[in-house]
Amino acid sequence: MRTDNLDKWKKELVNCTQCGFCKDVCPIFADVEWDSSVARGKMALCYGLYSGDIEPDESVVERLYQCTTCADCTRRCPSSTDVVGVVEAVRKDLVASDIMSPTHRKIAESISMLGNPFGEEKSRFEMFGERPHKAKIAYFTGCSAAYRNKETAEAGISILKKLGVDYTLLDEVCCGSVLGRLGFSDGNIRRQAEANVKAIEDTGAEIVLFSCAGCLRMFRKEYPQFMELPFKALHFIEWLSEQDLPLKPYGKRVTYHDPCHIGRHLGIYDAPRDVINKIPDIKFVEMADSRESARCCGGGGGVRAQFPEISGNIASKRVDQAEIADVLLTTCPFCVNNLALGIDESSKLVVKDLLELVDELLEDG
Amino acid sequence: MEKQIIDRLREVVGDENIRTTTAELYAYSTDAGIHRSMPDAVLRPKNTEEVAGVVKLANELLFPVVPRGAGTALCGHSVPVAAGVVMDLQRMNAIKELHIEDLYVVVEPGVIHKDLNAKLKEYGFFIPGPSSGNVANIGGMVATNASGGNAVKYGATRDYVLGMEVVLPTGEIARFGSRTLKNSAGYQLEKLMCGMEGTLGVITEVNLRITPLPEATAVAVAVFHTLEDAGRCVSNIIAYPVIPSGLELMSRVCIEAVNKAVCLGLPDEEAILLIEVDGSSHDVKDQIEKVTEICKGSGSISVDFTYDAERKEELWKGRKAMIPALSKYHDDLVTVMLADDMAVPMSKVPEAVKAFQAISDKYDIIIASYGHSGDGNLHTKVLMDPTRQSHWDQAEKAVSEIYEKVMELGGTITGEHGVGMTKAPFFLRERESSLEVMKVIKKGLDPNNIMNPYKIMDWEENFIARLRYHVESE
Repeated sequence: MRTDNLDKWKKELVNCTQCGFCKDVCPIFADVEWDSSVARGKMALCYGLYSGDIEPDESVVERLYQCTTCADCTRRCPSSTDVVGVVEAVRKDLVASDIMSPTHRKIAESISMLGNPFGEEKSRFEMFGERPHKAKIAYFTGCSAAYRNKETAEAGISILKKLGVDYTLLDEVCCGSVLGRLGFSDGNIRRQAEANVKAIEDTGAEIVLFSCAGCLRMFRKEYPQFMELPFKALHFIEWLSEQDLPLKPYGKRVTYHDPCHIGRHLGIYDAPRDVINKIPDIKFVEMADSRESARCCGGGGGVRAQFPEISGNIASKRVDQAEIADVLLTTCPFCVNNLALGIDESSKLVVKDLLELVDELLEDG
Repeated sequence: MEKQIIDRLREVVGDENIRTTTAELYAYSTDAGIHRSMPDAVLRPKNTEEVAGVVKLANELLFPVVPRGAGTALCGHSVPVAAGVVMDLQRMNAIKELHIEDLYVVVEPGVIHKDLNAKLKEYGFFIPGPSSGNVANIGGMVATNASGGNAVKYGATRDYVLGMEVVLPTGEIARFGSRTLKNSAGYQLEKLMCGMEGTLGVITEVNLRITPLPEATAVAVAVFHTLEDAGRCVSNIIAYPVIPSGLELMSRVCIEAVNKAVCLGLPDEEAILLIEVDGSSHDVKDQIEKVTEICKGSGSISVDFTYDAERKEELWKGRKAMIPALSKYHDDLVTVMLADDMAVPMSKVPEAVKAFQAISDKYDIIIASYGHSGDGNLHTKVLMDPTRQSHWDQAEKAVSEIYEKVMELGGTITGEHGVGMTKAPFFLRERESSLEVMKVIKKGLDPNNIMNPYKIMDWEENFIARLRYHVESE
């Protein structure tokens, strides 16, 4: 297999001393337990492919796709080895060699043909009944909140209406996050970026709000590699943290799960907590692992689609930590979905997007 | 390895716990050291019976068995140089018995040091361990006699081993030692197993002494203009006498690396000492006064103690991050786990530190000096591009010279990591008079040489051999 992408990561490949400190945090290793599954195991396999020691057979490919891209390994790594960068590079080489799972191929085809990874044929207009128009603020719902967690997108729209904001929805397509995580080429991602940026430019929006962590990460970290963005990309919660919100009291005990893609990847930790603390009477408690050291929900990096059992097991461990509260809040529909998978039947814990809670408590007008 | 052997192993550990796939063989072909060699299979036994079953089979069919814990060993201890099976013991991770009132616990080898200490903390106790304690397994710690920053006061893993269960190389299950704090009953075979690196059997259960957590601790950063002053200060503290719970030396290269990697804001000087004192509140206060006075008398520019828990944790985190953090020091160079944990008599620390610096200058390569110098344990680390032959050549010369100096000073080439492959050539010289006895013990217990063969006194190659890096000639 050619390793054109991996070759660019030589320094990181030898930078990993194989010290194994990542075993302490890697969510995949905690479930799979074989040493090939931990971050340093994947670094070893990548080195093996780079050096030609090994070939990408089924066992190797399986391990390389067992990474949620949560980046907790990089936080724990004393030399900050960019494991996610290396893993995504090797995935690009695998895809370039036409090595991919049927599940991932189907996702890419769906994005190419329908603009979303779920095979959904309805447009955003058909989902929400609102056409894009000129406005100062645009809301990029993302595919998950449009097609799987519609209540989150509806909450976002409702909040904007209640606050009397001049907003518009967008004629958006998949942000390309899933393509990037799975190893599809920059060309694929650039196409998504160009379509979305044009859709936003057409509305003249100065601020674009996101309710999905993966989408926001694309606009903040990856799109700028292709083009300059003539607008500001904010997580909905970042924007809400700066607003005056007339909120009704909420007497329950809540905790908050930091999505990896806005937490460790973008450093957004305070805004959601600031919003939670705006709610009168709420009892906020932190989980054992939070903020920079938050555990992953298990859903990202293509793991949920290809290895649902591993995803569910990781979610269960995270949900166990949240049992100190009545409500587990987060700010990513993908996390909401995956965490919900981890809730035991006997548990009374409720998983909810913070946007939905804000909408529920926000006084109208 | 023949299919029928794999099938028989499968019968012992179960289908789910044996792998011969590329991913597993390659991942288990190395540890945190510099070597690589592919095994034929990787096994994950769950209990002593399964371990014994595998070892019996190996002794009958004559294939190597290489025990492995977390795979954090630094000298190739768990690299299967003669192929065979790597036995991953991480599934044997039960804390089986807690006897707080009798000051001991019984644990399986795969228990993570951090997890054991988390449990013991509930009772106000702990067991000291290495910098890699967040992931290191008790079995590996015992098998390498691992230790870390607090060994100066609390000793090494061996000092906590009261007894153990071991599967011997012929497959018999043996029990060594006791459950008592004192034991004068014949040969201390449980201690013999400390540092055997998997060559004399598989440790399947350990009785460990526990020790109370100190009431208070304080950490100081003492800054020096020269490495030599810092080294002299170490000797002065110990000779005073004050026995700190940690006494760490960091050279300029290390200071810069740690600051870069974990933003600690350590002073920009030639050397610093991290000094930790613990005990009762009264003791700590008294030790702080003494240490401050000694540091000043030894040429320290400044000494700043902190009781602040967050700052203390941050400082130790930086120290624990030392080895890999050095990889961030230079854009083109990384640190490799080349022989590095020598120990010298404490009074020789200044001379050793000075000599290491001279060797660094002589070969014009970056060598970082640091270590748990309170017990004479000094580390050096060469920063290099491990894919270039010329870098290995320079590193080999420098490290060899460092070892020569250590032996000249009456020290040992390994204070806490063990021998494995990387230290073996110099170990053979250092312990020349012990080798025959070691070989008799090995032959007696392992007549067919199946347990982690060709390690320690049986390694016949250079220390830079079987590298896990692809090296380009220039």
